[in-house]
Amino acid sequence: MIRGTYAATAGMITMLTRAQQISNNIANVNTVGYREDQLRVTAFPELLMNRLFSERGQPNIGGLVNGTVTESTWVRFAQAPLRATDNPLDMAIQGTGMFAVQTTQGVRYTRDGGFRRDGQNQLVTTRGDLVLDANLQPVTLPVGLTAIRANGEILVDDQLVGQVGLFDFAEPQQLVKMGNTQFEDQRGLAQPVVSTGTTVRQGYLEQSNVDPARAMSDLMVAQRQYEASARMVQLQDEMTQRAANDIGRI
Amino acid sequence: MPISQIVRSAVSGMLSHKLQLDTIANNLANANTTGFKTAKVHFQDVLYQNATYATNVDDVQLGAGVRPSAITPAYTQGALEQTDLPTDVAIYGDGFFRVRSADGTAAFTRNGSFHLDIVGGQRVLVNGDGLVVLGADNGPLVVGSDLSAQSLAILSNGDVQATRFDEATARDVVTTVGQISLARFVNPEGLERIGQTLARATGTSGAPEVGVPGTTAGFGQLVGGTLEKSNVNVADEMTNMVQAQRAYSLSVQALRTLDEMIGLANNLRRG
Repeated sequence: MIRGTYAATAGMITMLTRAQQISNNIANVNTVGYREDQLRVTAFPELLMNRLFSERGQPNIGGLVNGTVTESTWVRFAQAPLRATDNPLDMAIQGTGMFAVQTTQGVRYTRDGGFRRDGQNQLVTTRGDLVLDANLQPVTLPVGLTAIRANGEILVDDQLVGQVGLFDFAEPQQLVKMGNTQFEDQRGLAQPVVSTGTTVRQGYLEQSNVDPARAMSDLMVAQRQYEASARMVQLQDEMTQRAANDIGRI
Repeated sequence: MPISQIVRSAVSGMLSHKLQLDTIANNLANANTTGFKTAKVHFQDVLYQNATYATNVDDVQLGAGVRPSAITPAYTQGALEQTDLPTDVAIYGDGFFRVRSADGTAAFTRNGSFHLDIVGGQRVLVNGDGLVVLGADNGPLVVGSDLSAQSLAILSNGDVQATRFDEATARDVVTTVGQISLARFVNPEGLERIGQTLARATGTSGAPEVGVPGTTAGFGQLVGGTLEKSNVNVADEMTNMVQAQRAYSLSVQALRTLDEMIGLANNLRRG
């Protein structure tokens, strides 16, 4: 019975984690380039159960799982819709690639293409991190009429001045979210390569790929599953109470 | 995990979208302000933390919500509106007028609603708040007391010309009083907005580059007798407002749901 309480409690903890994750997704419904988080839930390791007090030894009567546990989070990298802006340095990615930016903590990757020039004519993010080219060098662009080609080449007054780097990953799920809509290849397992099939659109920003309707229904499901688990905890508690107080009281 | 942490994402969503609503409200309020530039809020997600009760701790990351990373004005061209006042002037293209702010430093504006006023004993061109408009020589544009505002004309290269009827020759005599110069920035989005449609240079914006309107490469030209309206697109702002409002109520709903779940955990024992 105690075992049952733990199983139900594990269900509550898992569903509270899921609800927190969904509320983070919902908060980022208008965050440019945000990628939705998902939860991978798994069962506790199965225990083989043996019947006690049998004439034929202790025969195996099947497995028992003691509830669920959150195994890992994963990121849904699906494309989000583009939205037109007035800024000629805004770039939206169509395809699987990511921009590389230089932060004080090293190179990070992002889908947020809300860029601008800084005081030194370098292409930077809204936070001021340098946007990098395919060789991980900063992109410098003089003031002038800016045009950006689909492959990321930047032309100022019809002169090619640089190209923003676009990177694909062999193992994108190895990327770790660092906040600021940035990802880091923390364990060196994501294997970035220069992307060939990704295109860039000038004057657009890629929106968040959170679908509010689905997020709300997922949240309701998590809440109900949480309630069901809570009810199970109460039932187990009542049963324990019976066992402790009522049995043998005649 | 403490309760304040559990509801943090939902609360951050509410606060961030409240800021977006405030920004949109300000844009809409200034839809008819001369030289006003619409602003946009840019969001980013907040640092992720690892959940501590998982089997594989490194792989379970929970986000802490959203925060505004920047409020950026869009320095796109606003529509020009003819006023026929000779001291009204609009910039068509890149650049800012330079005015001398109260502390003596240069401030920058797209608002060219100028008039004549007496400053320091001289009759000079000032903006709507009485700040002296700076000419090419970094000094004020002095207009003689015998010249009426109606006799002035501002040319596309910034030359301020006065036309005077010369009694002796019975002819109009045109004299150039001064020249309005413009400033331009590497990154105008980095300018610090200080109100009254004025902005100040910062390290992010870069130092101002001063040039002759319509002549120096990259500088816009001046159009006399017109004003630049705001570049606020009301339809766009209304769409953004609906979106921000929905996002706000979604976060409220998420907060309510989390609250109910925590409440349930609190009342477990009572049945």
